[in-house]
Amino acid sequence: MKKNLMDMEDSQKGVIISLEGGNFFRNKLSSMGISEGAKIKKITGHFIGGPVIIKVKNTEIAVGRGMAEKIIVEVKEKG
Amino acid sequence: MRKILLMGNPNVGKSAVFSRLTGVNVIASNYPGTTVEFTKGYMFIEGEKVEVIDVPGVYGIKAASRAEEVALNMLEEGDIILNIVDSTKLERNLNLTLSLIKTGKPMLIVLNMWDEIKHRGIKIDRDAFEKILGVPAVSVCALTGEGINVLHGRVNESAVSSFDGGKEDRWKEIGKIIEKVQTLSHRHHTLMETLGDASVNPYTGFPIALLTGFVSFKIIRFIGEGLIGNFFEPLFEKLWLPLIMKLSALIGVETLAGKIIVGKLIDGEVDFVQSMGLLTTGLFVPIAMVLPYVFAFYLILSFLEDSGYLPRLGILLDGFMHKIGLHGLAIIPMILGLGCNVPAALSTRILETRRERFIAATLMAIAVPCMAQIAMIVGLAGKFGAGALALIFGTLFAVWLILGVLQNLLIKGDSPEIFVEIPPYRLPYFNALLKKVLMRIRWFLSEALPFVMAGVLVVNFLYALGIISFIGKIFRPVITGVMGLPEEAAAALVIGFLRKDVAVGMLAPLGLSMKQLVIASVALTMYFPCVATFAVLIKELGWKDMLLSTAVMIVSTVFVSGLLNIIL
Repeated sequence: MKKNLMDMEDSQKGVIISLEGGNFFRNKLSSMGISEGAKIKKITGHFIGGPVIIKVKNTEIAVGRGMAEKIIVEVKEKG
Repeated sequence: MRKILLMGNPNVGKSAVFSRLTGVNVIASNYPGTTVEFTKGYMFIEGEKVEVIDVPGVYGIKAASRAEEVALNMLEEGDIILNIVDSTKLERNLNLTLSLIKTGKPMLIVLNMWDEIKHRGIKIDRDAFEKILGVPAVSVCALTGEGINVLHGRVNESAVSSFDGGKEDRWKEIGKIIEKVQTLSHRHHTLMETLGDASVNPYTGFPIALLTGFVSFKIIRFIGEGLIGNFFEPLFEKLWLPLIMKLSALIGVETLAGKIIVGKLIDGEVDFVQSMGLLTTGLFVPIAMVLPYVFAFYLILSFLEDSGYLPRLGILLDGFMHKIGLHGLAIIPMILGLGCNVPAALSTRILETRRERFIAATLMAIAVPCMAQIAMIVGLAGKFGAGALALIFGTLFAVWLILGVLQNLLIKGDSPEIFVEIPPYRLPYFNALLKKVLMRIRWFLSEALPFVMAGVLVVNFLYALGIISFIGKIFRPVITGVMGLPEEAAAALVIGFLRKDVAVGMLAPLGLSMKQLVIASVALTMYFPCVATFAVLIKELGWKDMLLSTAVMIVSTVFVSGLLNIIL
């Protein structure tokens, strides 16, 4: 199932399938290891406009909401 | 002279390696963006003196912030690149490594934090790694110094890499390398990791933040007050005072030398706060009143930095910081500013846009008092009880908040969102922590003592020449009319340019009421940064923005102190 990072649930895992943005955006994310094909785990979301915390390539990263909405993940069904 | 660049992703320990190689001490912390400027040092390789440059961290070879720009401009000039890599995050780090390889410069890879991989269930085949990339790879632990000798001995083996990744997707390329050199074994969450996640989770994070803040505050007060009351005050009163009295009798109270060195006597006695002599107030204020708090603050700050808590606090407050046109990481200049505004002004470089840097620098300079000033305010206004202190710092916080919201509304543009790597929690390494605190204390003393002395001297001359009363008369409408302060408070405002701690001390002899002291303390914080901060801000913001920022400071000072004068 496809979901963006905002819609994923806490501690859900998946694989990034697309980054919906321009080159600058894609480069910025990619240089930190957030790229198509990368395994990703959502650690926690935040209320009042705070960021989403994810884990990619053994690194925890805080990603702002606007950016999180543009990161599309193929989510593993629980089980 | 050959130049060796230390390059790598943020927070991989470049500064720690740099200190080990050159013996030059630089501040290293556990969060990305500690180094915002390059630092130079020297070392000898087989008798040859070479320059070593600690470069701010970058993720790729395109700049995303001022600090990254600084780093990438350096790249051209280097003869050898020591690519520092966090061994626990080898895959992520290799992106930059491959980009650096493409520059065609001789390289050596430093696998830092080698000691940590074992208990993280990671195995790296160093020899295979060397073979694939065709450059030497040395494993070290910069924090303890392990492996640094080997590194030093192999710098000359640096080679231009023969690696050719072809045209494939970068991360696929890296995936192939990782497959060959790294094996992971499953392991459970460590306590540190669980704690790390809990402090960024909104439900557990806010209570943790409150608790951390409360405990930090208690410890700083306990150490600060304890050192002053039990050590420094007795030291000055029992040991220094008799010496000064003898000296005073020797050179005479009314001579010029007496006035400058000992200062004026209050009721026939030396008063360390009010006498304004070089060897009385000039020593007592920085050492007995300010230093204990500065020490306590930096002890706590360094602990929070090295543990990895600071960026987590930023993440937690991110949503809130958006309301003032900043994102969570801007909390770092604010917290550093509580120690000293100078490094705080520099640290605004971790922010991406000119808009953010302007807002952050202005807010920090206006509403964040440095520890030297805080200590003096606590010393003076504390006599009126906790209420007076709450009023002063509460007002400053309100100013910070309101000015932030206003700037966010009035300044064109948007601020980018937070996008930051969260460092793992680490138990601070005691020796490194201690070294860092001592470094900051030494820096404080070498900055503060000359400026305090200069301030004390200038006060004496300005009084003697009648300049203070002249300025007081000119600004009487504002100082007395709007702020409700006596004309003599002008002297403190003048000296505030040089040192804010001396300036607050100058309020002592004026016999101010609680209300007046609150207004004067708030005004002294807000109206203008001290000269050292001012110089850095001009460099960071440019003249035009700094002029604008200064206008904001002066206007809001008059407005806020006028308002306080009416409502209190």
